[in-house]
Amino acid sequence: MTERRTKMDIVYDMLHAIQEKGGSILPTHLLYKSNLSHGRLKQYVDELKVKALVTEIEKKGKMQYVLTDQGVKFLANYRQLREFTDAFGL
Amino acid sequence: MAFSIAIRGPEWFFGIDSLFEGFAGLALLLVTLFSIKAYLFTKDKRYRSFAVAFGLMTVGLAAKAITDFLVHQKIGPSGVIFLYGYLAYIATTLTALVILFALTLKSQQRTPFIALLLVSLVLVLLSSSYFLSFHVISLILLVFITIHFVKNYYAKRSLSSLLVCIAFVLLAVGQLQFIVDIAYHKWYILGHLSHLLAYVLVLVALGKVLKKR
Repeated sequence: MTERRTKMDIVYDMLHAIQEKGGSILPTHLLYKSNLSHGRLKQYVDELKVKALVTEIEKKGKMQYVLTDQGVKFLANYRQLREFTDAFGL
Repeated sequence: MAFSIAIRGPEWFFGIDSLFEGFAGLALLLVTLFSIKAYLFTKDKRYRSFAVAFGLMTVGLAAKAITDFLVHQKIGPSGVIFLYGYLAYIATTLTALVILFALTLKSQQRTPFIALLLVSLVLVLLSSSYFLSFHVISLILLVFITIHFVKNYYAKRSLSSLLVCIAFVLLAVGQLQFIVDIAYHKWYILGHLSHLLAYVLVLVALGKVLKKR
């Protein structure tokens, strides 16, 4: 059985999905990649916007979520943290 | 109290052991600082406890290194320095090991571990051979902690988890060598070498963590 994702894990999965798409992503793609319901995705995106980890832009008439520098920093910190946690079995 | 000054190891090794302990203290300090960073990032209590455990080990090793240096160099009242320096080292190290043991069990209960710590401290302080009882209790705790790191390596199969696993095996082996040293001298140096290698491996593992981007 897979472990339940923590809030941090979900935030990481969302930001990682944006980064993998080259730094910006369509909402429908993010919904699919982050494996969340529409309502929960909106909650998370709102929080990420407040924390300045993502911003919204319009590209060719379509709204997209863009990873900010803060978001990139969060991803780096999270990866280090996961390596540390794995190394020490925390 | 049963404390008396015990000079251990050959004379030529005086000062070198303090250097080894200083290096170990630095490695532990870096792990402590990263644990604090992890706690501030996540607000997860596991990282706070981990930071406290490694912080206490850092303080303990610093106390031991300074004590050894002052006693070997005959600076100040040796008896008093030795008593307080080693008391600090033993108390902080045992507390740190009990916290690590509690963390490895992922237990939410505190009372059994507080009792374990108190029993350990009382046993060491009332023992006629405080070095022997300290090293034996540390070895027992380290064996249980090491079992966790071995299991963790088999679960994760990563290089950093392997390095940490070997580091804790070496720390346990080092304690065993310090115990043997009480009967057969010269093992003191081997114990220090095992611990030095263990802390080098901890540093390498931390370096791998920091390289992760």
